[in-house]
Amino acid sequence: MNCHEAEPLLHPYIDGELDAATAVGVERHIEECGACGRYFREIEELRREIRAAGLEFSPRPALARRVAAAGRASAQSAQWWRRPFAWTAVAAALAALLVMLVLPTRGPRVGRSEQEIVDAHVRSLIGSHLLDVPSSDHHTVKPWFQGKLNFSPDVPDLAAQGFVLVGGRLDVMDGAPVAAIVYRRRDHVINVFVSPGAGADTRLSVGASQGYNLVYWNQGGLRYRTISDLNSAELRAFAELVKGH
Amino acid sequence: MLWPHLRAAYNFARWLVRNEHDAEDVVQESFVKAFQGLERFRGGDARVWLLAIVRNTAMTLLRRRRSEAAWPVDQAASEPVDLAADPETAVIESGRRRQLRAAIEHLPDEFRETLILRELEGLSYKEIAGVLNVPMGTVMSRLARARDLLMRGLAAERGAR
Repeated sequence: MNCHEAEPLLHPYIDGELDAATAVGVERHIEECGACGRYFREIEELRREIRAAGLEFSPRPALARRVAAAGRASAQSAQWWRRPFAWTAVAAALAALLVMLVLPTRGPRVGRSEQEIVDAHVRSLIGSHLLDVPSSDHHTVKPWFQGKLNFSPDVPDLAAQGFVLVGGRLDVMDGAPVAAIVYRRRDHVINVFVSPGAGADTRLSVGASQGYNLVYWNQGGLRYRTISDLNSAELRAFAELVKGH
Repeated sequence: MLWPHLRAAYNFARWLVRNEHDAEDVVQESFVKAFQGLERFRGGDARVWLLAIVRNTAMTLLRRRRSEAAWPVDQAASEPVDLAADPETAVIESGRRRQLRAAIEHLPDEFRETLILRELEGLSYKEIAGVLNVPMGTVMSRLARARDLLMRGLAAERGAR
């Protein structure tokens, strides 16, 4: 590597943006070349000075309150407790909690399948691929799956109960295409994976894995698997709503 | 989902508009926009998404301020407040730190925003490209230019004393 090649790469090298092979090439060049070595050390020195200076501004505590108030004002119409049926969801959540306190929790299905669900959920959160069909209209999302899958998942509208439909996408699980329907509750994303090949058990089965709560059931020949970082009582209430729809 | 990024949003806004009052307005407006758009948010990186909104909001404000500044009547009121004159930063800073702050403050917008996102917020080139809505190659060249300008500005200032 010569100066002409190395110079434009010095900044990405410093920022850790180069692949290993190119980085080694740059490293070797700045050891050998006096001018590029000097330039490299100057940039490093500047970065050290910026870091040491502590130039970040912190917001006044009052700003968070002010922003929250402005957010509330703009979202007044969307306040969940003012929506019809919102209290039904709360009651369902409390009932689910009671059921869970009273009944021993059924163990989660273990193994590869559960790991696949967690992986698919995490994948949808960190990548850009949360949605293929972003829509809060269940009349848009349901038809979208038709023709892409050989089964037709139900896409209930649960906005009134505080679970907002965000959209849907195709995902792959256990090597087969599945429908992923995405809901949101507050800041929590809920993935509902629907696939054919249901077992006989139509009861809800509750589990937890790697910080996520899961609820499974079978219905109408389809297997439903839902996962979220939402607390388990609310996720169970959500599952009841989907199932009962 | 958005609250953890309040500090980053404020710091970025503050470096863009260069005074506390406007920065707070920008952050408030950006969060309201973000809350309203949350259901349309397509996943991905919430911080990048929020900072992009902050940047657009701040740029709109700066453009408005600058077109107002073309009118002599409003000039005094609409000039960006110099950080050194801001009460928050009027604490006695070491000479070198003040020089550094002023040198960054005087970088043109496109270099200043790139430098702040990289050096103060620690964003990758890809994330910066997402915030600024430019290709990664542009991020790379702007960052190099920003650092060069900064080093030259500081050397001139410090060499002159």
